[in-house]
Amino acid sequence: MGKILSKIFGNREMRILMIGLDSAGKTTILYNLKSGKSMHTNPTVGFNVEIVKYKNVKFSVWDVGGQDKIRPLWRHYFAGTHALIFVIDSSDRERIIEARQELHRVINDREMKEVIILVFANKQDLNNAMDPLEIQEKLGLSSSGLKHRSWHVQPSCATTGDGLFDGLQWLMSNQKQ
Amino acid sequence: MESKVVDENEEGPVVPMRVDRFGFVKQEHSPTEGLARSRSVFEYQRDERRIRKWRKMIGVGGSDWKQCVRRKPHVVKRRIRKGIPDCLRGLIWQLISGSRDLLLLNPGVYEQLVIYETSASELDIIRDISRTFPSHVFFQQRHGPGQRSLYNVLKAYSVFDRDVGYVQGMGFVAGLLLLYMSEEDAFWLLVALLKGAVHTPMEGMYLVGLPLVQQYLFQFDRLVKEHMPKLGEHFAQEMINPSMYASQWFITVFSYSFPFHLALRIWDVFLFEGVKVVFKVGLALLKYCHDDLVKLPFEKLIHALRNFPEDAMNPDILLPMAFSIKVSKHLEELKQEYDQQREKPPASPVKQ
Repeated sequence: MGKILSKIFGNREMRILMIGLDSAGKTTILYNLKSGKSMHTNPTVGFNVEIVKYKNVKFSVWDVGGQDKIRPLWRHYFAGTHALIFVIDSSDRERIIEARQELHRVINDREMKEVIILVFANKQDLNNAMDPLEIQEKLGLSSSGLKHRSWHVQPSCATTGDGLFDGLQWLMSNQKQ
Repeated sequence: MESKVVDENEEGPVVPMRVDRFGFVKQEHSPTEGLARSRSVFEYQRDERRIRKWRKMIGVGGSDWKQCVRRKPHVVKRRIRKGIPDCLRGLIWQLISGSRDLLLLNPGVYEQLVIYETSASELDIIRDISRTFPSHVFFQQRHGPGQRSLYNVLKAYSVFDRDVGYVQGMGFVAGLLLLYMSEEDAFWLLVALLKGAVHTPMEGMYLVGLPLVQQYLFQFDRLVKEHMPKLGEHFAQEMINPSMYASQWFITVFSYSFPFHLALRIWDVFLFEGVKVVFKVGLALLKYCHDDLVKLPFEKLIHALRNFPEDAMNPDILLPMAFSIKVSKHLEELKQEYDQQREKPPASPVKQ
């Protein structure tokens, strides 16, 4: 019954996998989306998941630990994912290449061929943060190989919440039916 | 609630922080307050009695320890399950884990690792230091003695075993140890655990892909289905699997997000009896909350499995329940089954 009603009223569900290098701000983003507050977070051991309701969409957001040793586990969460959120610490110029490699490794996986890609250019409040355009270039998103993929770089600040719901809005508008 | 006295916005003279008896800064409405509060006269007397018994049992500085474990293993086991007195914990942990012997066999090695070697994991460690037990007075101060020791121990380990290096989660284990012993002692205890001085080596939990965690989760999943078929069925329907809630139980042996007084009691037993207590406590938690859990839909389940009620986390209720669950034999069978499955090559990973 519930399912029929939700179809009529257009309620949708979207499963999102959120990844990125360690300490990029993934867990802070997750809890700010959920509660609107900034919390002290621990390094993620395993992963966190929360359901976030925004407009008529129910997002289940999976936040997976980012450290390199744990990354092989990301694959377990690929199946059934509608969208990928990739979080960048915009002030971490030294690891942007590593971030680029991880992003491409994930989006080229067979299971992830169809997903839409939202990049949070996070920590925009820091002085030396790279702007979205620079991040887009350094991540190689403009390259011809990604012409047929839909992606978007959204500047954000997880501690204040700036940009987070704009990101969800983009996901909603670009979700494949 | 006394803890309300502190006003965060108050300026001027520094207000002394209110901490619980383990050194964690009290939060308003702290859920553990009821359990970590100061103890009654009865509890004090009982604790004093226990300390006297323990001192007698282990001898001066632990000199009789090996003898008493050999002669009366069941008495030692029983006493450890009741909880090691807090003032003796650091010493006993080193005796049980075999780390004291490692320390004595390797003089100067720790210093060498800390001072003269460099590690590829240094930046990884630094990024996590201020995020590990941030609410404990010892670790709170940026670059303070607590954060420095934690860094040193983790760095030393990452040099000592470069295959393991540093993995998120190890900081909580090292941090817990550092609250009860010196840096060097904590380092050797970490070595004893990961290299398996007494029990199964833990290092497989921290290698690339976390292979031992995967095995434990497979075993745990099956145990849930067998001990609580109805809950197992419900989890399957709601697509909940143990990797969603139990990975941190294994990786940090309950030191990541459980009340500290419970974590300590689990660690007492863990060091003496090995990893099976993690399975038992996990099953006991699910069993205690069974009737609620079977009614919950996915999203509420996810939440409930990370936020157990206060009474479920009372060690004097939870642990006896955990000890009554028998798993040893079954764990061994499930391990064999897991190994057999793995021998058949899985579908090859997708190449780029």
